[in-house]
Amino acid sequence: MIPELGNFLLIFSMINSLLLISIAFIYPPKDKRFFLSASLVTFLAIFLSFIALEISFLTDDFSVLYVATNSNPNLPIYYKFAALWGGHEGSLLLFLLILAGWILVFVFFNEDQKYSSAFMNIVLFALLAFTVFLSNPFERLLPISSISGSDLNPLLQDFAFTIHPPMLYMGYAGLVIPFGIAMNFLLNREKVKQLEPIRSWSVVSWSLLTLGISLGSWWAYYELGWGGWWFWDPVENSALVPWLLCTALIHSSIATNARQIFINWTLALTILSLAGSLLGMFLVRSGIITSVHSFALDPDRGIFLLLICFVIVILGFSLFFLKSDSRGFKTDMGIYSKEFMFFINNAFLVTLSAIVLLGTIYPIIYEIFSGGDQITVGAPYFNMVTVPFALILLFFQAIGPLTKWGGNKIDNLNSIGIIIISSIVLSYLVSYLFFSFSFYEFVGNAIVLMLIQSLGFLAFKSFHSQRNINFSMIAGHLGLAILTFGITISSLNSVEKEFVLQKNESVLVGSSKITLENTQSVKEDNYYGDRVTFSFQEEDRILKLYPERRFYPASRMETTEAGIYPSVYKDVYISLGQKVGENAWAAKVQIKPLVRFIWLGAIIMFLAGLSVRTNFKFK
Amino acid sequence: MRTKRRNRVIFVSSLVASLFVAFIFIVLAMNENVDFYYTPSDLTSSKIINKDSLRIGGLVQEDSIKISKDSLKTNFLVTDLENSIEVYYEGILPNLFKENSGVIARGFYDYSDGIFYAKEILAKHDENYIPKEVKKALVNDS
Repeated sequence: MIPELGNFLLIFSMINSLLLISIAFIYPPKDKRFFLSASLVTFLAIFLSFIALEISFLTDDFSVLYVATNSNPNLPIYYKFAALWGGHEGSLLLFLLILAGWILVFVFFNEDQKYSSAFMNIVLFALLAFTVFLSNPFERLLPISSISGSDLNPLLQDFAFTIHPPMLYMGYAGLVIPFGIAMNFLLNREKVKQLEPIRSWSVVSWSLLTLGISLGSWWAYYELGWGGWWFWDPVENSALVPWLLCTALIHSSIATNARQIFINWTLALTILSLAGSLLGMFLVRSGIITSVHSFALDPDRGIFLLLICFVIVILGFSLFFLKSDSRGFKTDMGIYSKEFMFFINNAFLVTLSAIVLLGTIYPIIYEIFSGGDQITVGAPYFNMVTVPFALILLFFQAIGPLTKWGGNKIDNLNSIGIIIISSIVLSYLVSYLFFSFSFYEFVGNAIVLMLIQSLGFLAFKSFHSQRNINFSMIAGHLGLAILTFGITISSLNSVEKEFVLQKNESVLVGSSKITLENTQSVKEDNYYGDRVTFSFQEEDRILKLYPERRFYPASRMETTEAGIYPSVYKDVYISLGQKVGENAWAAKVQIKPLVRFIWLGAIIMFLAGLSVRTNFKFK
Repeated sequence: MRTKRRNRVIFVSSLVASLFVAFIFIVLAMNENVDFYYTPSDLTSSKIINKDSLRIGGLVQEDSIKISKDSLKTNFLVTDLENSIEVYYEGILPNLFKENSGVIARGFYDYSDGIFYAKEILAKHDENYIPKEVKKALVNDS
């Protein structure tokens, strides 16, 4: 009964959303209350439908196909709750809930946006229709063939996983708001000020995307047991592309707000970043690309997502080309001006996202054009192509904040010179003294030092001249500097070794000694397996690590739980391989200096984004 | 006005130049880092494939896994149910590496001894999951 009710509410919200669109375009209501109440009804209907599915999960209603394939009676209750977004249909429902929530929040806070919410509802309606007709989470499984259910993928039975998708979806879905604002501006242009809210909304999306992506990377680091934090997996890439585009959008809209420049470019970016996030959804859901995120693989359904993506892009760009108007826009800028720095920022970010996207979809393109030959694009491609661009971008990131709007000579020339020279010297010393000197190490550290000095200079100057410190900008850029430092040091100075150890046998890794102390078996409700105790001796410090190898009977899957000793300076990371013989195990140890800085930087970026002064008005 | 025009020239030329550099970069990186995918039948056929890095996919043949007792060396056969190839790998095997389940190996094929030397073994994290390549090979054969 409850699943049918949920299904009914979902269909109801779809019709309601269609009604809002039709009324908004045919008889545009003067009163904002119409949009507010319609959005509220849509949101509540989806929310109740979400609750209905949650009830099915919590009561182990395995007559619902989706519950049967993604849950299990032995699952701890917390994971039963989170199992809702463990598969394709449920995660789509979560996405819809978040999307409807954003639209409601937008309508509540912003005024004078005649068509904005209608355009947002077009996206919502398309995805609702897709859910109702093609991937309905309430589909029944009759007669009931399984009374125990399948299982939530064991890799997903983990805390970071449970909050990673909601955060990421909030970021993805939030990109619909700048799109709506831009579309409204094209149809109903009065003043450039209409575009002002784009900045705040894109910053909110960006913060949540940053958090979602870094949670995913953290999860992959400790849960997949490979010790990496970024694999250039298609799914990671399809989150990175909208992130890069959203970063470009924030900067472009700052320039638009401050100087009324890049107006058309900002409009185009809102379409591109929404398209990026929908394309990402298509890539993840369609199973067209093989990846660790193996969602239900059904290419036919995926095609409809691609179709939705195309329709929205075509809709967006046809409005853009029909209605955009560059008359009266300022276009000139000197190459020493802040405007030019924003131009460089956007050019590089968009290029980077294009490079990542190309590498991600190249295998599909190749397969189509070569008549079925299959290839994969390896991580070295991405590293080789993105790193140089990212470094140049970071270089300009250090200089950009020191320039002036409309500047026609190099401002702060002396400071810039001092910053560059001192960074080079310092980086040379640091890289030489503390790390094994290499070119990338030197360049990476120099750029991090430049960034930090430039931000420090900026903070000092605004403090000195009693001007407002742009705290969010400084903190956000500082977070990126910390993240870059973590990436540089941990990628270039990690040590790893694979070995086979008997009980009480030791192996030397660098100057540290690793001993296999003992093995024991473990058993929990949802899994059983082996736990091996290793001791890690470094000078006179001894650490214990407990990597595990688990077997989840419900899904007949084996997983590796890495044994990690985290610290600010370095992580010691042991993952178990195969058991060889009675008491011997294959294992891999990795020592990763400063790897925590990567997530520390990302968290700072997230918080900085949230701290941005918003221009929502309460009314 | 002249500065305006000069700036525009600088813009356009820098844009073209950077696009060109980016393009060169991408082509070079692609050439070096793209792995082609083959089935065991492709490799055992008469056509010689000389590549430093390629991928093969198939199922791990039953009773073919030989794990050394004191090192990380492993030998096993990968089959597409028609032909099979011996794979040698030294390293930690993925969790889902087991008989009769899908596997992808990246490495090179040595025609002189008929062994595929794998640098990397991938087995996906879902037991229902068969790599797309493997599925295709299996479908082609049946």
